[in-house]
Amino acid sequence: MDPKSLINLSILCYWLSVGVFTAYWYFNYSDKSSRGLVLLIGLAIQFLAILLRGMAIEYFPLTNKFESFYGFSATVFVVLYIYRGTEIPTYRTVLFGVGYVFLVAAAFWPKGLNYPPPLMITIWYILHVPLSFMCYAYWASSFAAAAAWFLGAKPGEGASSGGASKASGTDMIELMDRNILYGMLLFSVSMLFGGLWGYVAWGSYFMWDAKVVWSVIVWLFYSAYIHVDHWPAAKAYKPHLAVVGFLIVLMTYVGTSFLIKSTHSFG
Amino acid sequence: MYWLYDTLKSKKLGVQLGFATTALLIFGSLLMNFMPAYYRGLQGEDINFFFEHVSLVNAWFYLMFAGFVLYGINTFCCTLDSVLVKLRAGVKNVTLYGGSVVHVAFMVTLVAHLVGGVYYTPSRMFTITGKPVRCGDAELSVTGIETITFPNGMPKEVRATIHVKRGGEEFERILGYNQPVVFDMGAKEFLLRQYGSKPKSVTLNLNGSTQKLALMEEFSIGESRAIVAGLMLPPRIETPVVAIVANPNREDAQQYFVRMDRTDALLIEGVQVRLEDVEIVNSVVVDLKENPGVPLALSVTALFGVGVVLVIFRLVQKLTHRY
Repeated sequence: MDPKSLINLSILCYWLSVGVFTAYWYFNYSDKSSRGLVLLIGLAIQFLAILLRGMAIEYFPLTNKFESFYGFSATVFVVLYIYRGTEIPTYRTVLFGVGYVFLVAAAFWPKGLNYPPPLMITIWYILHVPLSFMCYAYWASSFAAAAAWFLGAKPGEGASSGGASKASGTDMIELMDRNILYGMLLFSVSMLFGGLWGYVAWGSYFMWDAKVVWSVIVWLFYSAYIHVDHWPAAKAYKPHLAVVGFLIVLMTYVGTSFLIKSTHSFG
Repeated sequence: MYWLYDTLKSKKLGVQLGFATTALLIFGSLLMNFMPAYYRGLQGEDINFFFEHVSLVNAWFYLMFAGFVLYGINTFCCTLDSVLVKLRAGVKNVTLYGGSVVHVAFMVTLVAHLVGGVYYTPSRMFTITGKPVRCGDAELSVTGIETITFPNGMPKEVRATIHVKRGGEEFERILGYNQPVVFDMGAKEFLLRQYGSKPKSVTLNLNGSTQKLALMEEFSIGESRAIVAGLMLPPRIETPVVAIVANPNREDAQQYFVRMDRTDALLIEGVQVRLEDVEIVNSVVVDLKENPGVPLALSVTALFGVGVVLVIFRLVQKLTHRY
């Protein structure tokens, strides 16, 4: 099949996945197995679309805004799938909402055939970018847990209040901590790959470029967060910090392309 | 002295410094973006810029610099304390030392950034062809270029074979995008910036007799003088075209373009001119980057990697115990 047809097929899969994930708004409130199945179908179509694009451009398809947003939404849905059993609808809805916003936003960018520039063609890029997306998705999950905490699941509340929560606010704090730690571990590895890519492509593992600086900001912020238990007075503000952290992530991911100038702005 | 050590090994201080440096870096990044005039000339990983352009606008950097120094000392004291406690307690589970390894890697990262920032030198560009060119302490020449392209003609892979003469040794290296030629444990590297063919000479047929001319070389054409003013090569255009300027030093100078695939000759100053051949040489444009902090940064990569793996093992152990 020629590259053009593969791209057209991938676009068809994109719209199919939009349809499936739009339907998920309804299934989000159903039982674990049916919402899990819908998520799995949506993810399978998403990964098929990504595979088709990869075959068309003969490379890992993260070369433009459409592929970037689409890829990021897929990682958010992967994390949502991992936590599909968390019986806090607010948490699942917020996390799903983050993925859905990026999925729909992808529709506004050109979806055509786009070959990668030579500087993108390296194993370090393939390792760095998807891993970063996975970290962003874990941090989106911690943001969703913080939102659930703010909207009702407070420490010590227990498993009562109606359909709103079966887990307590303490569980939400635990979920926040766990996701931030997982994200932090992966992001540390991703930063190493990014540094190596910067070194072989531009001769610098660090430069005063907005995207690089904000990546360091993200790392510093979350590394301080994972130690926050050592500062008892600040412990109570973990949900607030999780929200601030996710705002920093959004600034790093999209803000450095749309709000401030960076040589990393995606084309 | 113990009070000082106790203060410096305070984990609370570490968290506060973490958030403070984050806030200062956010502030600095926004300033650099919205007040670019103050940061014109700031390049790469340079930190000397901030000390050479002392200004209130850079106050965030001075505070952040002091913050990172204190952060490094704090991390050192905390790590030392933690390792000593574990050793005294006879902890033999290696995974429990993962966090300490990551913290050591963090400290080395700070030092690597300091070294890289202080010894930063702007990169230098060189055009290299088949003839050896001195680039710093090495002599480089191109012996061949291979390219693989995407269906639309965009380069996918470029492999330039570079002949290197350095320190009495001669060897060959492959240079490509994301494949620099590296020396001194990574402290010095040549990065590919551009590649292609550079015109060397043209062979013109002037009324039946051939003449090989270098670019910008003057020659006689009939009763007049002319110069080979330029040469355009594919892929910019379909076939090679040479630009010839007749009477270049006179007011009535006139430019002619002779295409290689023309069947009929072009008449210039009464002479039939044909472009018979073009001699081109492979060339690459390279960037020479020097950063003595790179070997340290590379060792950090290994250290961080080991530390993170140990932490992951520790997490797995914890989860296994829990379930």
